[in-house]
Amino acid sequence: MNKLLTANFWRFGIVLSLQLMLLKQISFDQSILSYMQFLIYPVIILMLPIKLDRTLSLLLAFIIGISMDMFYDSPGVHAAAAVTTGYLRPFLLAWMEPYEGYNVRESPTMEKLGFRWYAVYLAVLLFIHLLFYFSIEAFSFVFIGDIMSNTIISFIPSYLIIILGMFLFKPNN
Amino acid sequence: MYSLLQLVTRFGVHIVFLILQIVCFYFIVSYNKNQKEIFINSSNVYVGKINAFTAEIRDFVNIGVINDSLKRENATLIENLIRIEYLNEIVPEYSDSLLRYRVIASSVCNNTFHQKNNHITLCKGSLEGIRSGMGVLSASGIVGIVRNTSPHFAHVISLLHSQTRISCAVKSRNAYGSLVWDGKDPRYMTLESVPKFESVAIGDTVETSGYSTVFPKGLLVGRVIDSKPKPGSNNYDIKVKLFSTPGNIKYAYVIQNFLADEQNNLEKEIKNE
Repeated sequence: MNKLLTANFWRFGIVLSLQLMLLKQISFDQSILSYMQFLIYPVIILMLPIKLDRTLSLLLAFIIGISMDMFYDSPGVHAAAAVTTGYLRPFLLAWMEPYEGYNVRESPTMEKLGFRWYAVYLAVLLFIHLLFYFSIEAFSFVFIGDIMSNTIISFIPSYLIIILGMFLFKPNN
Repeated sequence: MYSLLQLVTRFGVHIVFLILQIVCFYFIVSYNKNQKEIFINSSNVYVGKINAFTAEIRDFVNIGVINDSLKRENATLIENLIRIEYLNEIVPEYSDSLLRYRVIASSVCNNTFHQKNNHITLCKGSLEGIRSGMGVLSASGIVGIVRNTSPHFAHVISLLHSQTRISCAVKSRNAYGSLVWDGKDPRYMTLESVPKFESVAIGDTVETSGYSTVFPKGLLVGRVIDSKPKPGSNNYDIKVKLFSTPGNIKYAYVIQNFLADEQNNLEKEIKNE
């Protein structure tokens, strides 16, 4: 349990600093690429332990989101998306549960649950997260076209970076 | 109390989720300028659309007023054009004579062009200063000469009339003649009695000569498309394609020459002698 805690804590630190120091700085001027944002921090929420108390995971998601907001100067926007992701995650986990079930003390990682399982899991939650984030950012469904293009264009690079990270670091916890 | 506890234990996660979302939205609305503005006037996008739509309607309703102002603007531009034409001929001390022409814009009430003798009726008359003998222009060229006026209407003899004779010249050549219509094709007129010794090329521009009090010089009439010497005569007959399309005149500009009476009286005196 202790190992799990330290792993998540380190993950929080590393992913957040990578997000803020490197990925936040990247932006493009070209018309369609200017929509692009690299958002990899949802992976911290996705990789919280499976059997973690749901209320607690909501609060953790909220903290992660708020700490993102502090650096992105957008109080509440990332937090709202993060809380939503944290809220929906157990439903998806229950729905995607393998026949043999999950181990009690583990995080949903690619190493343990397989590439295909993880690819779907990540795709669903990351897409929901980005969609919710850009919807809140626009704050009105009048801009549905902008929201969708933002979501799709940001989804692709964020997804690829996270998958790449999984292959590189092969986190177990 | 027990049921409340039961409720919390059962739906605790959902309640926490809602509370956190409310907190987030509170942050969003109170700290983020964009979302705040949208939230304060959440329908502002629709309001904007409605505003644009009403502006469109307003523009459409005002189209008459706008049209009027455009007509006035056009009239001023034509005045300036005439003024420029005379500019380098005027002795500077008498530059008042640059102001001898005024242009009155009017819409066209009636227009015929299929008959042998065609007429145009303008929707402005003597109350606006239109008198008989004034020249009439359209945006693309000269159109006719005012014959009669009533207080609110003016009757114009079209170019396409068997009695029309307008003194015209071929631009930048010394070929002068009278423009007449043969009564056949409303697109073409003939420039008669141009002396044979003047050279005229196909494609030359025909403009008013300024030798009458009706039209100032330099107003566009048409383009030379054919020039044949008339058999047994010393003159050319030049076929001219008109710039103005007679069937399609919506607005006309009447040219008032302030010095017309003076010139006519002087010329009459000579004749009477």
